Amino acid sequence: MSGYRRPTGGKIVERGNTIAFNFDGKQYFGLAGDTLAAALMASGVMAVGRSRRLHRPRGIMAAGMEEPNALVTVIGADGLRTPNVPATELEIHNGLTCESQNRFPSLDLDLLAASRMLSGLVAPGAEYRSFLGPTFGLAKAMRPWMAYERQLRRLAGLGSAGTVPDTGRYERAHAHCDVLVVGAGKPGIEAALTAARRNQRVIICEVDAQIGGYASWSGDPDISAMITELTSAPNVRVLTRTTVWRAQTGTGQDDTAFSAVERVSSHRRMAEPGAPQERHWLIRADHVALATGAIERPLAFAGNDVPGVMLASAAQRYAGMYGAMPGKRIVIATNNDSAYATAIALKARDANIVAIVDLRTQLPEAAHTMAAVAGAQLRPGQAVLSTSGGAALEAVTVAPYRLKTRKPAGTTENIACDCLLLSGGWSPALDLAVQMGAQPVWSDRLQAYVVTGTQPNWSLHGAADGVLEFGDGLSPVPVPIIEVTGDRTAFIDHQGDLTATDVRQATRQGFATTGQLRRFIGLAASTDRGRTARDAAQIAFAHAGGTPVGTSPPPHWQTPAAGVALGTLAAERFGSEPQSRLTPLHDWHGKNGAPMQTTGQWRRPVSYNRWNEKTGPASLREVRIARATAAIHDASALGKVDVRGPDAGDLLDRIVATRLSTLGVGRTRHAVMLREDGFVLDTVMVFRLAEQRFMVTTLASNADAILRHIEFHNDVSWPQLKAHVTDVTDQWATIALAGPRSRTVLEACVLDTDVDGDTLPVGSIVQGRLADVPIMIARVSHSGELGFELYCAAGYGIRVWDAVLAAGEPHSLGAAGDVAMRTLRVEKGRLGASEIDGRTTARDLHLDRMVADDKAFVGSALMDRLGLVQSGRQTLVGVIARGGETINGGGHLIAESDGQKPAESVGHLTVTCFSPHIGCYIGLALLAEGRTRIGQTLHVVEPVRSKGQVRVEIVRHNMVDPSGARMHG
Amino acid sequence: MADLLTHMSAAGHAPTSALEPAVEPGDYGNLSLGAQVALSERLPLGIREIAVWADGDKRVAEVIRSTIGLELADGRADYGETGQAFRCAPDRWLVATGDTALPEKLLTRVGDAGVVIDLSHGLTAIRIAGEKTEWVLAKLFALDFSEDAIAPPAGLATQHRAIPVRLQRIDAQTFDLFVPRSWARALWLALTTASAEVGCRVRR
Repeated sequence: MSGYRRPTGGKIVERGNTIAFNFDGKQYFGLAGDTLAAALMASGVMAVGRSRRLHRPRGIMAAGMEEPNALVTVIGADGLRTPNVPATELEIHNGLTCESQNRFPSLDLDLLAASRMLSGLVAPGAEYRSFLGPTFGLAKAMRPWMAYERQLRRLAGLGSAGTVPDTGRYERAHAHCDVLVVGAGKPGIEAALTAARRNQRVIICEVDAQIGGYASWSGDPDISAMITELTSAPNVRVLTRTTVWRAQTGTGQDDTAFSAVERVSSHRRMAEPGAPQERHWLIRADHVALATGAIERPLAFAGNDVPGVMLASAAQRYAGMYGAMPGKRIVIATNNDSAYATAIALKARDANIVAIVDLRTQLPEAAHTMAAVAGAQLRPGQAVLSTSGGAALEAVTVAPYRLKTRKPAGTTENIACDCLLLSGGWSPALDLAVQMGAQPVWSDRLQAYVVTGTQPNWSLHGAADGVLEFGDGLSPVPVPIIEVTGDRTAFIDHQGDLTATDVRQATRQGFATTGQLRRFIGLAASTDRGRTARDAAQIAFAHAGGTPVGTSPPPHWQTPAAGVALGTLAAERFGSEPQSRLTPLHDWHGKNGAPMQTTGQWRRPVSYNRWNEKTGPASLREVRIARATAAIHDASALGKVDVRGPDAGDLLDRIVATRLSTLGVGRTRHAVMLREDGFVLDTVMVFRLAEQRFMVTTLASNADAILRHIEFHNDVSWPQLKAHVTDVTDQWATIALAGPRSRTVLEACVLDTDVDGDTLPVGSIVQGRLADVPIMIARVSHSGELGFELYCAAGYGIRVWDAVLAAGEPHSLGAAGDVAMRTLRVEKGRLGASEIDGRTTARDLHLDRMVADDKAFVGSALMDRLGLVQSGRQTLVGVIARGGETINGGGHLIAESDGQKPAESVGHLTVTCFSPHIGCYIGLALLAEGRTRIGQTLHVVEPVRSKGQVRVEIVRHNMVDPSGARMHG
Repeated sequence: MADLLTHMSAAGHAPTSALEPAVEPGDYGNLSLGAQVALSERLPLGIREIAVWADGDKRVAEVIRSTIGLELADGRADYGETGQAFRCAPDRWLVATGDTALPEKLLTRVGDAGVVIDLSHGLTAIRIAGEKTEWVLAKLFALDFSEDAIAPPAGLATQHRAIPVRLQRIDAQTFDLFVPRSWARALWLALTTASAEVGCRVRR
């Protein structure tokens, strides 16, 4: 127990507002405004997790998103587990429950820590590599790695997600501005105010709950007034708790976009009404000002990861913002001046600073003065060589140190302490700058990568630009040293559990860049994105190779710049209510027992189940009704494309393979469309509604493609033609009526027209009135039965539907769902998407009689190429399993197999169903030389589903009423 | 022979709204600051899309002016008590009016300057109004909704996920959204969900 809370102070915590939370099964108390890290520190908790690879106890290292150690798993009230959340970013709230990671069974007693015994034998990153041994003798035959590889893989990684579904809502939002400022420290606020004063629209994003950054917790006297001006400016939007994680670059606002995650409710026990868990912003800006700050680096020496060791700036922040002090006896180890500002700030809050150990021998006068003010014993030219303590820091060992030789040069001395603050220099946070295209260069002055020069549409500000100011003439420039002592516990990448020794070993193994180290040993590649490790790793790598630091390729700044929840990325694309199109009759289907399914974009009725009826029997009943009496079907999802204008017929003649300009007004024609490469695009039904007006109806599944195809050729291929193409799918409700008694039903309800065979022959259209609603009736059939399609304005669809049902009641009219309609179409040999699969030609599908041979059209130039007309192509046939067995779509057709040697597939089933009309399973198939195999017997095999063969008879695809007598009624 | 699929209104019978039964009047969501947006369906509305030929744009604009009283001098959009119109594609106008007789006049007067397509049933018009309208719409559409970018009564065509939407800004805090009927309930759900955070009042 070392950390504590001061009785006063803490800029953002609410004294008197106590928050209870649970960590590792134990209840703690914090103050409103605390992060979990601050609350744990104030509660005296030292160890908060175990390291990834070596399972060493770890404490809080930092105070922001750069935190490498203190990652926790948050457990929601419903059991939802959210792993790898930095405790430094997690705001506590009443009821918060979280647990430490990477330990079994507990943080104090971690059996997995035994892996440390192997650390000298197993190379870093081994858990990610392939396991292929032992490869000799019996072991080779047993392939033991198949067993142990799995277990070793489980040791890799950090926290683990649970299996409870995330029911939180995530949403997206868009924003546009003149200037986007990333980072609301003082430089960011200055940039935002400058733009705001020019009346530019400004968005400023801050990852923390409060703006102000370092200036705020270090007590900058100007910052309060600046914040007030910023937050009251009407043209400024401040987004707190918002992490900008990606930059997409371009030359203008349309091309330059930034992705950001706003944690709307993560800090609350329950989301406010209507509020999402997180909001994903896509921000388009003319200019972006990156004021992302700089990250303080640790120094590397033996045991620099013991709980109680942390960054100096972090301690200052905890003290200033939360009133949380990291320890009662503090030692500061540094190689630059900035730590002295920390010492002063901590002393102002009554901290006991025992010593300041500075690697430099020549110190500025201010350092001496400030050390004295802080009451700390100043030890210039000395270094912390090691720490002692297991789960909590107990003491540090210091000694005089020679920078030239990088070795201790004198007697060691132990200093008892419970907190060691490190300051190894500062690294500008360049993640977004690099994503914007910046080329970082090594700065010998800062011992870090910096960006020089800026582009017109972005700029760097403050510490991100390498401008680090700590006041009182203090310089952030460090002496060039990161690794004080080479040791297996001198970590440069705390989250990756990697030391400079590991880097040297990897270099000896042949890894030639830090990019390779990132991929193969995970250097600076963890959830903290290597923020505290990247530059130190670069230095270690250069030293290992004996080359100057700046001469090797720069390290990799990864995208995303911060962890992003998958739910946030998916946002409302997933959930319990996927967006679907509804027909005008949708509600009727639901009220009448129809289970609904999504077909393409549409919600469609599967079947109308009575009482406890299942879909299978219900669909068969509906098919029998259609064949015996009459069935009504909601066909409103059919695509409907309106083509109008003086050249409408000419346009369709050029696009459709069937000639349509000769189609008479009031007539319909079944037509086929080809793709440019000569294959079938789809079949359509074309209505000529007026001299200059056609309507093309398509199957719902391909409606968008047909519309795009026609629009493209109208706009691009033949813009000189005077024709307009419009999607009118939603304007009209379409009701299909099929069955021998369908005409009788219509006669009972339609007014203002006759519907007999003379007035309304096959392929014709009449207008009429039904239930006071004007309608259009077309004599078309998809089922092979006497059939009609009724078109009315969509708003009257339900009125017409109800009227037809009422009129049909005496005639046993029943509704039919999609499954029944599929059965009817298979029986009749009608085509669907499974036959028009992009590989079939008009000849293959017996559509060649619909292809005009006296005109050119899309696809005509290539439809007769050799590959499409040669013998042996698969053509459409029908298949009947007269033996009563079940056959499934996708099954292969073979001549016969002896069961030993696989027989050659000569075709495949495209669709199957049980046919109540024939009394067994039937299907459509694409079969090589199908025309010549009619009457033959083949076998269906489905190697995936079963090993058996089903004997089937090959028949013509039109299996019911091939003469069309029923349809012509 | 006359056009076979037009003049389809049924006298004396109101068409069924695509939004039924999703529209339930009341206040929803976070009402700590009151309902900051209001959603309603505009009914009844005669909606026509006028696709103009290359040389017919000025004539169609004049027809809209003389028929509905909308001034389209800038070639963009207008809104008034008699109706609203805006360009929804380079060669197309979307015209909406509450007077059921006006669309038929349009059909006659446009003549050979273009073609008039009835979308009264094919499009559902949703009005969103209130001080947080821009905030709500920004959740659904990748558009800059500031008045500098979309000044009343400008209109445009856009998309929310797969849902095509044509919208017109009526005033600083009011937009009309025209959505295909089959998508209307999906967009309504998206709007009510997005609005809940700022308090939503549903009006019939």
